[in-house]
Order: sequence, then structure tokens, then C-alpha cells
Amino acid sequence: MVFGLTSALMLFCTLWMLASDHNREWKQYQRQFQNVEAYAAKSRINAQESAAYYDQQEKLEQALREAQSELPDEKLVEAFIAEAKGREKQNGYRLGAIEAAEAELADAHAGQTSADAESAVDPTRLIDLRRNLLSALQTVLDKAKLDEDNAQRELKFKRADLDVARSKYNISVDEGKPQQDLNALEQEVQAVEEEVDNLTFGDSKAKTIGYQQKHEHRLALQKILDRINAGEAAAQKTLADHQTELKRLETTLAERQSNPGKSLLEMPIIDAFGRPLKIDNIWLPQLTINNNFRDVARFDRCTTCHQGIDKTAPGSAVTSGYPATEHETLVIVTPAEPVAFTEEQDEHLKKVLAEEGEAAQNKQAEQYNLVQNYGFQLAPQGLFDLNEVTVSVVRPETAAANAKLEPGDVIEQINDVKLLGRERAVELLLEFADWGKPMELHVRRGIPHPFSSHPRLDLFVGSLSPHKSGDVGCTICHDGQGSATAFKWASHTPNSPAQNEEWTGKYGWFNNHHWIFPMPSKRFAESTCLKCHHDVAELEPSERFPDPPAANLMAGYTTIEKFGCFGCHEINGFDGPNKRRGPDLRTEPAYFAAAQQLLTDPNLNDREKQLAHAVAAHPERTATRKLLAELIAQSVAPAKTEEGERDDEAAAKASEPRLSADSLALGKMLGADDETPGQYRKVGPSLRSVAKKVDLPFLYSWINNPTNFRPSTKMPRFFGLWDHLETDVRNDPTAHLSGHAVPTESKGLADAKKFEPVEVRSVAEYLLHYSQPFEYAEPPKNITEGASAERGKHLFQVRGCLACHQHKEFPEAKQTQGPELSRIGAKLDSDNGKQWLYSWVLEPNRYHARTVMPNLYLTSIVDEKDPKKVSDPAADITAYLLASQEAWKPEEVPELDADAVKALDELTETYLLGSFSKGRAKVYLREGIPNDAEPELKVDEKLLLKGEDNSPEAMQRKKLLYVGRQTIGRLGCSGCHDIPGFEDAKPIGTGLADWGRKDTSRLAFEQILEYLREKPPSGEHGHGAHAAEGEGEHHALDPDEMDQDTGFFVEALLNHEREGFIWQKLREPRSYDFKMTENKSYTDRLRMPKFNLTQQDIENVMTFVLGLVAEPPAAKYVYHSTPRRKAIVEGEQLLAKYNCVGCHTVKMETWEFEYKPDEFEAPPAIPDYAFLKPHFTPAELAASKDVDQRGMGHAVISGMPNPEVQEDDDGNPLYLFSLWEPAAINGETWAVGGVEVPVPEAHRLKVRPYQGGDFSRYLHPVAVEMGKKNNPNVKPSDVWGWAPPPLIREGQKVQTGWLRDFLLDPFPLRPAVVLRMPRFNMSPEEADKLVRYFAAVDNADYPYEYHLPGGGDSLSSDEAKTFGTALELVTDGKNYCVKCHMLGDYKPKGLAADMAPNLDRIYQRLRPDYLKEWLAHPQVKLPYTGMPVNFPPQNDPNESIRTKYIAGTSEDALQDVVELLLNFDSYMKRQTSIKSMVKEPPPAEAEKAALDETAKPQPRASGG
Amino acid sequence: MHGNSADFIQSIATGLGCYYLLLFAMNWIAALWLWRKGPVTYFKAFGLLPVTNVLVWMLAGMFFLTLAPFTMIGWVPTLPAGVKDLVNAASGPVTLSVGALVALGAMFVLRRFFVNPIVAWSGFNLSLLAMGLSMTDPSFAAIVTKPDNVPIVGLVFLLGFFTWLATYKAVQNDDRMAQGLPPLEKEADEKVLVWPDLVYTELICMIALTAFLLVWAIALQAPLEEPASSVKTPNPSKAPWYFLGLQEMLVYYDPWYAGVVLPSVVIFGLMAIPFLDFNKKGNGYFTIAERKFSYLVFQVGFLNLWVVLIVLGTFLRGPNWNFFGPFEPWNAHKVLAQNNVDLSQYFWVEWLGSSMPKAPEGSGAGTQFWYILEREAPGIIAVLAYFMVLPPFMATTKFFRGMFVKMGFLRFMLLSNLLLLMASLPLKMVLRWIWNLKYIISIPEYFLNF
Repeated sequence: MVFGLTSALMLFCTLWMLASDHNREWKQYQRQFQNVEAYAAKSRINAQESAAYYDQQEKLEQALREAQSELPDEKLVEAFIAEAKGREKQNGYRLGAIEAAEAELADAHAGQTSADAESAVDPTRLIDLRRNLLSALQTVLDKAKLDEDNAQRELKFKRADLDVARSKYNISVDEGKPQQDLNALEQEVQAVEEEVDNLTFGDSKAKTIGYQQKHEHRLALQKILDRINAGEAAAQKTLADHQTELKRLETTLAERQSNPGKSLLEMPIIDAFGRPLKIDNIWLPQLTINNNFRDVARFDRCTTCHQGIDKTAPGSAVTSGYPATEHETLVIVTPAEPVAFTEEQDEHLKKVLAEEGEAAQNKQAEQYNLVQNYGFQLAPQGLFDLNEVTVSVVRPETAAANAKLEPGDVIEQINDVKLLGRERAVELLLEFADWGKPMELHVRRGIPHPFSSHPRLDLFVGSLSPHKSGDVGCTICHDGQGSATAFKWASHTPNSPAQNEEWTGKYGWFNNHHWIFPMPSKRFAESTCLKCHHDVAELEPSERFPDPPAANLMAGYTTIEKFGCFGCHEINGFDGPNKRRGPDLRTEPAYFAAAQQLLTDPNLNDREKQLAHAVAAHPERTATRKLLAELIAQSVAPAKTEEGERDDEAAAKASEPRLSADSLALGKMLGADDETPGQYRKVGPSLRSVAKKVDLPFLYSWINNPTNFRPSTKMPRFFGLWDHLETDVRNDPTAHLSGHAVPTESKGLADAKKFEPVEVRSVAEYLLHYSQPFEYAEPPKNITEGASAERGKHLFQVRGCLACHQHKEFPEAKQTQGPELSRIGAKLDSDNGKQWLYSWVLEPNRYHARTVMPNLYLTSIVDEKDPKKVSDPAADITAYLLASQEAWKPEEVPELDADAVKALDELTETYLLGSFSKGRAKVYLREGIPNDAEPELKVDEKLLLKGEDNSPEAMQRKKLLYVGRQTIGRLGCSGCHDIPGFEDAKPIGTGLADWGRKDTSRLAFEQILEYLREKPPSGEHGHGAHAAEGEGEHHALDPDEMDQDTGFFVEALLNHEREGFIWQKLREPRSYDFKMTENKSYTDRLRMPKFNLTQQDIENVMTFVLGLVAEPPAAKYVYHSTPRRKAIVEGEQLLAKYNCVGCHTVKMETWEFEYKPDEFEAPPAIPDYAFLKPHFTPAELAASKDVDQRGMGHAVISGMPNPEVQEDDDGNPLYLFSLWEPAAINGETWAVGGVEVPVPEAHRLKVRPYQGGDFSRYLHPVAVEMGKKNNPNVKPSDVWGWAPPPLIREGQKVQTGWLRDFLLDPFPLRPAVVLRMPRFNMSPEEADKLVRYFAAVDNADYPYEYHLPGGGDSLSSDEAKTFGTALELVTDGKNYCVKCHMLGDYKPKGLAADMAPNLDRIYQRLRPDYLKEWLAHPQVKLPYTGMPVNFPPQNDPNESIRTKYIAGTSEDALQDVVELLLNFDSYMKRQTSIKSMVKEPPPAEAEKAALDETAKPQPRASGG
Repeated sequence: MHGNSADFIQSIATGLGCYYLLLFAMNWIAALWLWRKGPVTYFKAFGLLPVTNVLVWMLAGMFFLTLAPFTMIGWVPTLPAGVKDLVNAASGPVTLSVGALVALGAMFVLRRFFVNPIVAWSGFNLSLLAMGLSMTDPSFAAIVTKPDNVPIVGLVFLLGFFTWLATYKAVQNDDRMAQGLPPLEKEADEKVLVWPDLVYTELICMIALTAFLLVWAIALQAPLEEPASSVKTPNPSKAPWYFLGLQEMLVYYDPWYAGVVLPSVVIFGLMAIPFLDFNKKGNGYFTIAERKFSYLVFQVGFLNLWVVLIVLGTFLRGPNWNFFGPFEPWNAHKVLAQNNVDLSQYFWVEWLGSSMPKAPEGSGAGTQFWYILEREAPGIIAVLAYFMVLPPFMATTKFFRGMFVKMGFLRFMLLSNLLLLMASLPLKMVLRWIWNLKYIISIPEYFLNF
């Protein structure tokens, strides 16, 4: 009994075990995914099995039948018989049968064609008859083959005999047999040879034929038969081709669908032994995971459940096959009234009724109805839920297809009615439809997790991606527990409280804090990129991945770069000099600061001064720096003592060094080396000479609250952050008396109010006191006009200031590279300020040697009308800016009254207590530190030395400076600013290099939850109502009640997670001091300031910081860019640093649009040189003709849309898009410089924005207005030529050496421009990087140098002659180049705006290939250029003039001119003057030409 | 920890409801068993109502049955906060250890009352009810349901049951022997065969145990914690449950003593029992009266000094090895003042008001040794006195005199020293609690503390 019971128990437990194995989560997912796959295959089959498909199939089958019943060509049959006749008897052909069969077939055909219905023959009989004929023919062929085979066999045997005979003979020769024997053998061989010949070629004597004839005979027969059969074979092949895709899909379906065998293996119990469901492992032996004591190989089993992760859409390697679920609303057009069945359908329905009954008929009728009216069908049941209304088929070019409905869509709602089942849907669609009115379908598209595919298969998982799943697995990017096979154990992380709740309920998810690598939640998924992408910048969108690979992460990175977080929080990417562990954001060594500080030492000699200046301007020049350091170090070495001089004298000399101890320390700093120095500059301006710029009231106001002066500033707020301090109930001494607590000011708040003004003031005083001298720039001497704010405003607008700065008076300019200038006048409203601003505008690097603000070449301007009037643009701009004040006034600096002095003393004492005992601190506070204590003092305390003057006023000043210095040090001002005396300051904040893995137990959460309960965080989206409920009130912190983003972070805080900590730290940095200030010294309070960050900024920064984990994987996984990619990335960084992209467009807009192929007109053909034609392969052109389900074509174009939007016939906006890249659209090639592509707004699908050039776009309308003053007919497109040019194809255009020189020292290139290229304080290395960038972007050669074919002297006389004629053409001032271009000393008449660049140094600037293409058709290179086509390949209007100079075709002339321009320098060495050679048009004509822009565009080339 | 207790209650309501249903079933099965197999006892409740034990257990079952639906819909009965605070306060190490000793003593004295099945079953029911009520506290639930700790909860109940069973049988036997009857085991002295009886029994046990393990493996999955790390140890770091008693000793003793000497002595002491035990009675049957001394020593040693320490280490030691009441959240920031002082410091500094003897700088090892001896002299003398003076003194007492006579000098000295060693543990604990005494002998120079 007991035994029976326990056995039953055991059996039960075993079964339970097997059942729970059978029901393991992943097995269920795999089973479900099989259904998904089968479903997908089925729906693809359905898509294939369209009516069109069957129509085509029907047609092809008919064609096949026709071919099969065709009457073969009589002549061929005759030829066959004729061929056969010769061998009829020998082979026993029955030719009669052929003839009979043919005759019968012919008769039948005759009957068929006689159009006599009665004698009409059943087509199948024709087929049979034809088959008879063919088989008769085949029989003959078979017999011929038999005969041939026999002959071949016979021949083979005989050949063997021949080999035997030959071998016998050879052996006999070897053995030295007598000649007779040899002869006999030789004869024997010959005899056999003859027999072989006879068998092969036939024996003419015996009248037999050989193998060869038989073979040929059979081939001849075969050929004829093939020709007879050709029609049928071709028809068969076409049909088979047509069916291939469907067959392939059917095979797939068969593989995916379950079958009895598979089902058996998937039965419970049996499936415990493995197949066919199994765990997918990705084994990554080199991509280890750190288990503290050991690195172990990763096993990623994620794909066990995420089965569809790598599935692509058919025909694409990067599009997701199973996109994740999303909801869409589609509008489908309904017919005016229900469409009736076609006859065929009617018939079929009747047949169905007869064969399968009414239910089947209804079903069929319903499908017909849906297809007829809408063009789609519904699946009998849903995939994941049987009741879901799922679309199974969408017919192309129907209402459904036009509404963009797709097979697999689940219709959830029709108009306002939510669907619960299929029947209801059918009712709504067919019975209660409001015919003629559009119907709204709410559909769910895509496949839910875990079945969906990766959304970025171009970047991840996919076989063409850089992160193939087999190579990198999943968890290196996603983290989480890769070896887990259940949802809850994989350490998924929810993205919101709602998701948290959903997962907890659905999957039993829990926050498994034991797994130290949990998946980052979706919002931080990009964090992990930093493990391998240490240089970060490479994650910008690129050619290969135009969609941003990690947008949030990059935004975080740029935010950190912008706000300079690394000034306080070092992010050291190196773990030792050669070991890279992550991104590296550190400030550069402060050599420049040390050099500048050194200059304050009055004992510096001239050489040292000179070197110090050089180092300040170019700290990257190591040799100069080392030399300076060495000189400083040598200054202490005892001067060489003369013999006899006593040692102690020398020692005395040495003990009094020429330079101060501080200077020596600075010298040491200058000599120090860092193997991997930081690369970042401090983000704030240098405060070294700040007293020469602003005064105390402004400084006080600014430090106290920077946003007061400039709301958009990146300077954070340090003072007045009191939210966490405000009131305190506990401190109210009367609470117990009154019975209820009255909120009073807490001690924390009182202290802050008392000390902060003193701190602000002392910091300002310190900065002003230690400010270094600076000499303002002097205005040029020849100025006659006074400064004019009005002129200044215009100059400010057009001379490029707005390319970096903003100003309220020009709201369209939105660049944020430089500070906002609307109030700048109020800041600099002092004598110093005015002079400083003038200096700064005129010559920025005078004040700051390495500033990114460029020199704008604001040279004096001579009035065009009155040459005597000379104005100073810098003074004008200064005047304008000084007038920009917005009536802002700095807040008043509070009096240094008794309370303030007391607070100052208290603060001084607090700081002194850090170094001295209490008693001594009090004495020092009262009397100052005795002078003899100096050697033991720290730098800070030296400020309190009694010195010579220790009057109370002097002491007070000393205390101010002391507290100022302490405060600067404590708050880390030197993290962003260069401040005198802080040259060797270290970052004050926590290092962030591995913050993403920081142990949460080491984060000081303090009383943050209490604080949040008192002041609940209100998200961006409301829920701020709590704040109004009053102070001191407690709220339950329930993340579910908050908006999803805030809730997510509050939940993280409740769980003491890093995400929560840093979120609150960035939001309210001081809030961690809540209720903590009472128990700590004032100077121990938290120091982090509050930055001007939005919620999104905070998340972006977090994405970056959480990604700093310092866990670099094996070297081969770390990203190493190709040289080309590296050049591009470095270049892009420089483009951003100097804001080149403020003026220049570096990437054109890209549009994806659709069109109706039959309505889309082909571009007019332009006759052009072959070398200019864009090249598309036939395959590319054919692919451009593909249409989608709705019959629409798609194309991608890159270039500039015309700013003037047109209207199409229906009054809808129509864009004209000017191409900058050739495009293949609708099977046609669209060239650059041709007609614009018309794109109706409704057809524009996707826009990828241009990059850079905002200022050019801003300037364009302004410049048009300016141009109109001189020429009312100026063409807007020409005006583009006056603005900074787009730098598209710059790499192919210019020579690298020229570009480098130009970047370092730009010279005027185009006379027409509104503003010149300014000069940046760019190092030669940086210029090189930019040059490399342009070469890399366009895949051009780098370095590139054009070698002249020879020196000037080596010109052959032939060449000289050619050049001579070419030069004559070039200098034809009426028709050719010099009409507009300057050349050598010649300058064409007319306005500067119409002039084009000087041609004499073109050979240094342009690459030869480019020059030739440019001259051949300028618009192909620069669509907006006004330069005309001077050498058209055909129909040259100037042909007669051209041939006067150069005989031959246009291309010859083109080639000659190109050659001339490239050899201009060497050729010109033989010439003296150009001027004399120019045949000028009469002056009146020249003037007319200059004005008459529209009649014939003035040629103008671009450049720069 | 998520502060939302309403959510927590919701999450356990269903499980707790089932638990009460199970208790209902358990009581009714017990009642059924009693009704069918007896013995049914009749007594008068409150001296008035005549009831039977069957009825009592049915009523108890009904009580649980009424609790169940309320619990399931979310009206979960909980312990009042006052009770929780009381329990928390009472479960300090002092009260727990001393209380356990007192409770055990009381149970020993009143064993006749406690072995009564009605009392035992009531106690069992009450403890299960207390358990159910306590589960509504998140802190308690977290620590009790931790997969690691579940077997220990079971162990506590099992141990209770077997201790009760043994006592129950022993009391019966003692009563019989008092009446001159042989013990029960002698009555049923029937021989059984290895095959098939024993082998069958073993087979059945094997099957039942395998089934049990299967169920356990399916229902309560093995806990997985983070990989071990030398830079970050878990807080609290706990030894396996069976070593938690040892770990608890580490609080009071130097590692070499608590971790090496004491465990070895325990093993040697157990091995020595056959040589020390001269009492021939009590073989093959349960008895207390005939082996009072052995019984008491064993129960104190095993239950008080081993099991109680394990329970304490498992459930009541939290982060930083601090004490936490059963209903107290494990807050890692809780700080307890632990300023412990060595005996030598008390002696020299507190009592004599002088400084501690300290060898002059640079003196040789020999000199230092003497200075250390001088410094630690009070402790050394005390310890020597404890182990050398006490045994002869013990031998003069009435209780031990007989033993000394029967055992002879050597065996008695061994016994008394083992007993003293055993007693040294609670003694040291008491000294720590009352006087913050760290070590009696403290020679950190040689890593020798006692």
C-alpha cells in the first residue's frame, strides 16, 4: 500500500517534471515562432498567388498547349526523313510511321482550321497526335543512337587491340629483337591501325560506314528533332520560370509547417530528449564576460526565444523581416456602391455550392466581395489570437494597396468601432459600409516581441552588418544574462513603470540585482556602444549608415563636450599609457596657462618672455615648451664661480634665484610630459585679463546667477540653489507652545543666505585683483568716418557674425556656436569693456591666442561712391553691439556691511580651520599670519600673510582674496576657466571613466527619497499639481502615478540604482544635501552646480555616462576605423570646432519620394561630353523602374530644393528639386545641372536634412536685396555665388596643398563675395586634417600634388604655339574668359559683384580633371553657377569665333584652354603683359553687358 | 526596497489564503484521525461546556477556514505594529540566548505539561498562525522566503517535532518505569528481517525522497547570486546555514579559537563521550529520568549553543552583521555602537588608573614577551583559574562528588574541562553584553586572543 502510494507519487512527480520541461518558456516561443514563419511563408505565397499571377500562368499554359498541338514544319519533318532515309535499312527505321503520324496530324489541323464546327477536333487529340508524331521521330532517333553506340563499342575494343600491338612492338625494340621480327610486328600494328581507321571513318571498299558518320547522322537527326520541338520547349521553360518563386516559397512553407514526424518529436516527454526544439547557443570564446576572478566565454542564448531577430524581408539584406508591432491608422477608399461579382466568380461560386455546400460558398463569396470592393482578403483566424482580424492578401493597385494596407496587418478598429472578431469586421466592411466615403482602419502592424526582427539589421545582427550576431552575440551590446533561457532570468530591464508592471504580471519578471550586468533599459540601449567605440565621434551618421546609429548617445556626448563636464569630472580613457579602456575626455595640459602666468614674473628675461608668448599661443609645439622649461630650470643653477671664490658665497648666490619659487614651479609644469595628454580645451573663456573686459557689478551679477544676464548660457548656476534648504519644521522653538509647527528658516538656509553673497563678491574680487595686463588694439590711422551703429548692424548681419552668434534683432539666424549677443552692450558698458570689444572684434587672438573666434579681416572700407570716406567696420560693429543692451542692468553689489564682514570672518575662520588649530586660526584671523611662517604655508594661506600693510582695510581685502581663492578652488571654477594662480588645479569631481559600473553602495543617496516625498518631481507632462499643495507635506512616491519618464527614474531611485542617482543629480544637484546641511560644515556642502539642461539633455548625458564602464573587450572587437573613416571623423570634429558648417554646406538634402511611373516625364536629353555623363549600370536603371504594391515608383535624390515652392495643377505645393548628385529615376538618368525634379509635397516620403550652411541660407535673401540695389534684375540663383559656397565634391575639386595653405591663410578668391573667408587660429595639423577630410569624403587622392609637365624653359615650341592661340581665345574680352575673370594684371570692367576669380593661379588650386569637367559644363559641378558653357559639344553659337583661334572641335579647344591654364605660369614667363593683348569691347558695350544680366548670364566661377 | 506595502500585501494574499486553507485541512484531518483512531478525550471548556479534542480541532480548522477567504480578497489579518515592535525589541541577542535557555529549562521542568498532545498541537497551530500573520510583514517575508532560508524554516519545525516526540516517549517510559513496567520499546521488541522489510522500507524512503527533491527542484528554483568578487563582498556575508553557529561565535572570539579550537574540541568531546559516560542505562529506549545529566548537557549544547545560534545567524543577522528584529527592514545604514574593551585595559587603565605596560622602543623579542605577559597577567590568571581551579572546586560539590568518585581524576578533569569550555561560550557572550568585554587575553602581537 505504502509502496504503491509512493510509486504513484514518484510517477506523478516525474510526469510533472516532464510537463514543466515541455512547457518551458522558450519551447513555447519556438513553437509559436514556427507558426509565425509558416504564416509568413503562407502570406508570401498568397501575395504571389495573385489574380495576375494566375492570369499569367493561364496564358503561359495556353501557350504551352498551343505549342504542343502545333503542326510541325513539314520541311523539317521532310529533312528528318531525308536524313533518316540513308540509314533506313541498316538501322531498321520505320519512316512510314512518321509519315502516317504526320499525315494524321496535318488532317486534324486541316479540320481545325476549316472553321467547320463539326469537324473541329478536340485540342487534346491534336496534342496526342503531335505526341505520336514526336514519338515516331524519337524512335528513329533512338535507333540511330543504338547504332552509334554499337559502333563506338566496337571501335573501343579495336583501339585496345591497337594499344596491345604497339606495346608489343615497343617491347621488342627494347629487347633488341632482330629487325625481321620488328618488321612483322610493325606490319601487325599497321593492320590493326587500318582496322581502327575503317571503324572510325568507314571502309570505302567494304562500303561500310564508320563511327564518325553514325555519330554525325545521329546529331543531325537530333538537331532537326530539337528544332521541331523548339516551340514547346521554350513555352515549357517560360512556364517553369514563372513558377519558380512560388515553388521556392512552397518548399519553405513545407519545411516550416509542422508535419506528423515533427509533431511526434514535439510531443510531451519525447521532446525532453532534444530535437527539434533546441536551445540556440552563440559561443563567443574571445568575447569574455568578467566574473571577477576569471574571464569566461560568453554563451548567448538570446536567439533561443528571439528566433526572428535576424530575419530579413524577402529581397533585402537589411530590412527587418518581422518589424516590431506598431499601430497605424489607414484611410481606405470605398467604392461608390458595392461591386457585383464577375461572371467567372459567379460560376465558381455555383460550382462551390454544388461541390462543397453553402458554408463554403458563403466563405468564398465573402472573400470575393472583399477583393472586389477593397482588394484584400482576411485570414480565417489570427496568428497570436484566434479572434484577431488579420489581413491575408492585399492585391496590388487596389484600394487596399493604395491605403498602404499590408498582409499580416491586424485590423483592430474600423472607424469608431473596436473589433472583437472576424465576423464583426466582415459585417462592417461589407454590410454596414458607408459606400463612397473613406473608411478609417486602425491596424496593428508587425510582430510582437520576442519574435520580431532587429530594427537595425543594417547595423546589427544581419549578415551584412558590422556586428554580425555570430561574431559578437547579443549580450556584449545589450548586457543582461545571455545564458538564461527564461524571460525573468535574462535580466531584461523595463523602460517605464507601466512596462515594469506588465512584465511582472506577465513573465514573473523581477529586478534581479544579483546579476551585475543587467540590460540597460531601452532608453539607454545606446550606452553600451562605448565599450568598443572609444572615439565616440565615429558613431555619427555616415555614408554607409545614414540613419544615426546612436542618436541619444551622440547628443549626450556633444552635450558633455558643450558644457565641459570633463572640467570637473575627468573621463580618463586610459588605464596606463598604452591601455585604452573607453572614451577619453580630459582637459589638455595647462602649458598655455603656465606660460602666461610665467609672464607675470618681472624678472623674466627677453628670451624667456618671447618663448613664453610662443608657448601661450602654441602649446602643442613641444620643442619650444621644453626649451622654455629648461631655461627656467637653469635660472637657479649657480652661476659659474670664479676660482678662489668661497663656496658659501656661491651658495648665497644660488639661494637667491632670479625667478620666484612660483615661476620655478611653473617651469617644472612646462617641462612635464604626459604620454597620453588630454585633448579638450576648457569650455569657458579665459579669465586671465578679465579686469580689462568687465567690472565688478557685472562679474558679481554674472557669478551670482548667470542666467540672469544670458538665459541661454552654458555656465551653470552655483549660488542660490536653495530648494532643498528652504524651511525646517523641527527648528521652530515655539512649536511645542503653539501646538502646531510653523515652518521657519532652517540653519542651512540661513547660512547659505549669509555666506553666499560674500563668496560671490570674494570670487569677483579675486579675479579682478589677479587679472593680467592686456593691450587693446589700436584702430587704423586712415579712418575718416566715425563709428556708426547703423552701418555696424548691416555689417553684423552680412559679415558672418550670425554664422556663430545669435541676436534678437535677427531672429532667423539660429546658430549657437558663440554666445547670444542681444545684451552684450550691457555687459561691456564701461571704458574697458568698449575698448576690449573693439579689440576683440578686430583681432580676437590678441586677447586669446587660441580662440575659435576667427579674424574676419575687418579692414577699413572705402566708400564706393566717395573714395575719400573711409570707415572702420570693426568700430561700426562695436558701436552696434554696445548699443545692444535690452536695458539690462547688473544687480546691485551688496554693501560690505557689518554682517557681511562678520560672515567673511566666519568663512575665513572655517577655511583656516582646515590647516590650523582653532586657537591659532582665531589669532590669524584677527592679526594675519606672521610673515616668518611663509615657508610652511600652502599657496592659499599665503594670501593672509601680514606683509607690510596689516591695517584693518588691508586685512579685510586679504580675507576677501583668501576666501575668493578658496571658493574658486572649492567650486572648481578652474575646470572651465583659465584663472591666474590655478594653473596646476586638478579636476574636483568624481572621475567618470567607469561610473557606469560604480557600485551603488558607494553612491550617497542620503535623504533623497525624503526630499522627493516633500517635493515630488513633476515630469515634463504635468503632474506638477503636488507642488502647489504646500511645503513640508509628504507624498507617497508612487512611480505608477507619475508620467512614465519621471516614474522610471523615481523607481530607479527607490531601488537605489545608478540611473536614479545621476538623474536627480543632474536635475537638482544639491538636493542630496537635504536635511544633511545641519550636520556638516558650510564648506563641506555639495558643490555641483545646476546646469541649464532639459529632461532630454539629462537623458542623453546619462546615456553617455552610464556607458562608461571601462570594460574594453578583446582588441579585435574594439572599433578601429579605416584611415578614410578616421579622416572623415576627425574632419567632422574640426568642422564643428571651428563651425565651418555654420557657413558651408557639407552635405546636401536627401529626399526619398514616390511618383506615378506613367505620369513622370523623362528629363530632356542634353548633349554633353561623354566624360561628363553620369553612369548607372543597366541593372541600376532597371531597378529604378520597380514599383510597389500601389504601382508607385520610388527614388532618392540629393541636392537643394528650390526655396520658391510652386503649385501643381490642383493647387498643392510642388517642389522643384535641383540635383547635386545624378539620380536614376524611372529608368532614366537625371544629370546634375539639368532640369529640376518636380516633387509634389504629398509624394515626399522621407527627408534627410542638409548639413551645414545655415548662414548661407540666411544670407541669401539678404544678399539678393543688396544685389538688387546695384542691379534690379539680379538672379537669385546667381546670388548663391556671393555666399559661402557648399563644399560638395571639394576633395575632387581642389589640390590638397593649395587647400592647406588657403585654410591657414585665406586670401581673397572671388571678388563678388559678400564676406571673405576669415582666418582661424588653426594649427597646421588641423589644416591637414581638414584637407584629409575633404579628400576622404570624396574618395579623392591624398596627398595630391599636380606636377607641371615641365619647367617654364622646357616648353616646346609646339606647345608654346598651342598655348599662344589658347591664350588669344582666353583673352577675347568680348566672348571668352576675361570678360568676367581677372587674369594676371588684367581686371575686367564692371562691378565687383560681377567679377570672377583670377585665372593665373588656377593651376595651383584646381585638379586638372576637375578643371576640364568644369570648363566643359560648369553646372554639372555647381548647379547654381552663372558661368556659361563656353565649349558646348554641339551647336556652339560661337563656333565661328572659336575656330578663328583654335581650329577643330569644341573638345580640342577645351583641351587647349585647360592645358594653357594648367601651364599658365610657365607659359607666362615668356610673356610680358596681358593688358596689351586684350581686345576690349567698346566701353559702352561693356557696361551694357554688365547690366544686362538676364539676357546673357554673366560668367562667374566659384571658389574658396 | 519598494516602500509600497499595499502592493506587497496584494502579491501575497492568494498564497497566504491557500496557506490558511492548508491549515484548515490539517486540523480537520487531525480531527478525523482522532475520531477514527482515537484517543478521543472529553473535557469541559471553561469548566462548563463539555467538548472533545476532535471538536476543538474542528473548531480550530473552522477558524482557519474563515481566515482564508478574507485573506484571498485582500483583507489580510496582520500583526499589530505594537506586537511587531515588542518582538523586535525582544529578539536581541541577549534576550534570545538567555530566553532560549530559560524556555528550555521551563520546558524541561514542565515537560509533562508540554508533552500533552493537545498542548503540543495547540502550540504547533499557534506557531503556524503566528507564521501566517508575520508573513504580511515584508521584511519578515523577505528573509523567510529567501530560497536559501526555506529549508531552515522547515528545520526549525522538524527539530521541534522530534524533540517533542522524544520527550513524549521518554516521559511515557519514565512513567512506566516508575510503575515498574518495562519501557515501550521493550514491549514491541519484535525482530524484523533485512530482506524484505528493511530493504523495502529503504526503497520506499528512497522513492519518497526522490519525489520530494523533484518537487522541490521544480517549485523552488535554485537561487542564483552574483559572481564572487574580491573587491565587493555581499553584505551580509554569510556562511552556509550549518556553519552560522560558528560564524556567530566569531563575534565573541578570535578566529583561531572560534573557528579552529572550539569546533575541534566539539568533535573531540563528542568522540570522548563513550569514555566519559559511565551510565549504562537508557540504551535502546527513550528516557530522561535515568539520564538527566547527559540529557541536559546535550540539549543545552545542541539546542542552545548550536541551533539557536544558527537561527540567530540566519534570520536575525543583517547587513554589517548587525542584529535586526524579525520585522525590522534590513537597512545597510544602520549603525550600532560597538566599543569593546579588553580586560587588560579595564584592569590597568580603569581600575589601577595607570598606563598599560609597554616594552620600551626597540627592545628585543624577549623583553617584549615579558611586558606582554605582565600586561595580560590578569586575563591569563583568570583563564588559568577557570580551567585549573574550578574543576577541583567542582569536585567538592555535592553533585559532582559522586561523579568524581566514579570517574577517577583523569576522566573527571577531562569532563569538567569540556564542560567549562562549553560554558565559556555563553559566559563570554554575557561578559560582552554586560561589560563590553572584548578579550580576556589580548595579544594581537602573536595573533593570540581569548
